[in-house]
Amino acid sequence: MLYIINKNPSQNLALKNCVDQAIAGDVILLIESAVYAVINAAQSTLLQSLDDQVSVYALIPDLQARGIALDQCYRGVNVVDYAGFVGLVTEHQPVRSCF
Amino acid sequence: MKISLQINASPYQHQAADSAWHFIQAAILSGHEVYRVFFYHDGIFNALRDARPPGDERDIVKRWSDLNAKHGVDLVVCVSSAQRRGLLEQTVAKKLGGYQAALADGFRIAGLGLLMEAIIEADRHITFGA
Amino acid sequence: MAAAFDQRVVLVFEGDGIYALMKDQQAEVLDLKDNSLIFKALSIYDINDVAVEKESMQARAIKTDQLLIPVVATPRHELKQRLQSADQVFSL
Repeated sequence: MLYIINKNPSQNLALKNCVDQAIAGDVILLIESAVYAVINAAQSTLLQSLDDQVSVYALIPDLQARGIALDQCYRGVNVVDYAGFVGLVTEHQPVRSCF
Repeated sequence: MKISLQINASPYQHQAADSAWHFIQAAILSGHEVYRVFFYHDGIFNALRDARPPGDERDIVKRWSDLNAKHGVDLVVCVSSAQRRGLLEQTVAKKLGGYQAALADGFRIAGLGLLMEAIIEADRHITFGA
Repeated sequence: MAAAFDQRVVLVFEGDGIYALMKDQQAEVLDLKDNSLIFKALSIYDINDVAVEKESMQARAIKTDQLLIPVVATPRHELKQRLQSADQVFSL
C-alpha cells in the first residue's frame, strides 16, 4: 500500500495511525506539511521507529518550499520529485490518502 | 495508466489544489492519462469563474481551465456540494433564480456517480484534501 | 452509490469515524440532518460488509451494541489486510 500523508504529526494523528498500521512493503509518502516530520528532531522518532521494510519518502518541492535542507532530515528518509510521486503511485496499490 | 483524482479542499486555503495540479503535470509528462478530476465538498471552490487573485499570484482556477483546454482533462464538480455552496449550473440558476455564469471554463457539474465511475475506471485514484 | 455500480464494497470505520455510528444521536437538536437513516439503509443497497476497527472502539470505550447497525469489530492488522487487497481505497 502507498500511504499519502499531508499533515505534520503535531497537527493530527494521521501519520501516527499510518505508522501503527504499516507493514513490510508499504510506502509512506509525505507531502505538504507532513514533510516537517522528516526533520531530524524529536518528532521524527515516530518515523524512525518504523520497520526498515517500510520506506518513507518526502516530496522535494514541499521540503524546498519550507526551507528544509536535506542534511536536516533524518537518515533513512528518501526524497522524490513530482515525477517520482507519480512513479510511487503507479508502483503501489492500493493508494490511500490519510487526513 | 489511467489516473483519477479527487479534490476535497478549497484553493489557497489549503495546498491540495496545488499538489494535485503539480501531480497532474508530472503524470501527463510521464505519459499517463488523467481520466477525471472530481471536485468534492469545499473542492468546488476551485471552479468559481469570478476568482480574481492578485496579479503576482498563481491563478488556480485558470490553471484548471487551462488543463482542460490544453489536455482535455475532465473536470467535474459535485452537484450537491456545489449547490449548497451557491455554485449553480447555468440551467439550474435560470430555473431557481441565481447567478448563471458561476462555473469557470472547462468545468462541468454532475453527480457523485461520476466520482464512482472514475474510481472504477481508473487504475489509481488519489485524493487531495485538507 | 458504489453498490449501484455493482462493486464489491467494504465500509470501514476507524478512529473518530466510529462516532458517526453511535445510537441515539439527536441531530434535530442542532437542526442537523439525521445521518442514522443513511446508515440504517445500507443493507438495502447490499452494503452488509461494515467493519469497525476494534482498537478504535476500545480506545473510545464503545461496544458494538452502542452502534446503529450490525458491525464486525475487526482488529487493526486484519483490517489492514482487507484494505491491502482492495483495488481502490477512498474516503469521503
